[in-house]
Amino acid sequence: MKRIDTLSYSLLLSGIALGAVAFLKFRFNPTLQLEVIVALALYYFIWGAVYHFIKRDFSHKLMLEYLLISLICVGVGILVFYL
Amino acid sequence: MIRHKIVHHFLPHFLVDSEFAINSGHAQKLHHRAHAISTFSLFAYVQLVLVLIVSLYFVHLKAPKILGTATFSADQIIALTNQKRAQNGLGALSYNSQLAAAASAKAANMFAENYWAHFSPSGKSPWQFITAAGYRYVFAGENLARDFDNADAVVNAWMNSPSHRDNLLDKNFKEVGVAVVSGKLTGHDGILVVQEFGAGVSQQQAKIVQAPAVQAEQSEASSSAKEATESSQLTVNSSPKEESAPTINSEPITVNQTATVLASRQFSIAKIISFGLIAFIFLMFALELLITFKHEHLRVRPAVIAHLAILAFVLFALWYAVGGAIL
Repeated sequence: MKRIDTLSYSLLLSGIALGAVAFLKFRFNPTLQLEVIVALALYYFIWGAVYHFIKRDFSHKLMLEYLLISLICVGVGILVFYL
Repeated sequence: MIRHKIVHHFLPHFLVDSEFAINSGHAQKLHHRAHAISTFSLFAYVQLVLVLIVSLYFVHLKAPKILGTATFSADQIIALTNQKRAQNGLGALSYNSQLAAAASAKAANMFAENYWAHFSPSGKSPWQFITAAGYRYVFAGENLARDFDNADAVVNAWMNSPSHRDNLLDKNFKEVGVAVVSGKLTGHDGILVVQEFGAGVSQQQAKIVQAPAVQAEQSEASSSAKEATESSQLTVNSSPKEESAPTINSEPITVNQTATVLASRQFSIAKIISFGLIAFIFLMFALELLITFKHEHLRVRPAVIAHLAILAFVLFALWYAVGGAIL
């Protein structure tokens, strides 16, 4: 199980690191920066669903928590990079 | 009691499971996260963000002056450009009215055809505007910026982008013309800045030196238009022998040397509020993680680390957010 944890977190952190690099690459293009944030929020939500399914502690309440944090991230992205 | 209630809002805490205690005769402590990051609170934050988005949108639409106004001019852009050149040991660019007219025509065309690119959807190149204004060049270049609220921010953004910086600090350029225009471009009200660089034929008759970083040759302009459109900055050498003057539709937009930015503080307001909210949520989850680590009998909820990772990314994104775009 520890191996699954290590692999899962490596995948999550690699995705986020890649997102950070893409974000800096598009530094002067707010539209693409917002797209990076939306893509990462979606990736994080899907990662959460798959990870907790594998760990067998998947619950609707937990998924709601992931969904709400994803929505907050996308919301502030729209607030800063789109409006 | 009140103190405990306040603390429970911000720190994870432990409550005795009364049902378990009654049934077994032993007290069992249950781990509760801070109320500030409960599902209910997270839902409230989502609603808060939605309200902010809608409010800022409508204020921007109906009464943008509430969000501040700022004014900046083409002269400021030229002065700051020359300041950067001086700091790098280069000569100052002199103002050229033909290049300024070309910049104004380019800006007007961008609003008329509603595009944000070096090449128009109908295929007009930056060089056509320069030539149409009567400027015969050996070298020419173009920088674009939009939605910034001050001249400093525009020039700093260009300086932080290698390709735009190359244009600002190109020793081949001798003259400059800038247009600062307010209007609605691709659905957004804001300020558009067009900066045209040039070295006139009369200045470089004797020797024509190859530009150090030529991204688009004029002779190949039509064939490479698509690739060039995707580049962030353009430099060209040699004026074409014959150029057709671009036709520009007249639209009710303001083309001036000076432009007023409405809702100039909107970006800063949105950035500060967003950063504060995300930092607060991040801190609450970080506290949960730290306090759980300190108590050996507690296990870290796996979701907390994932939440911290995505929130850290958003904090990073907000920290590096810039209130405008360049091309």
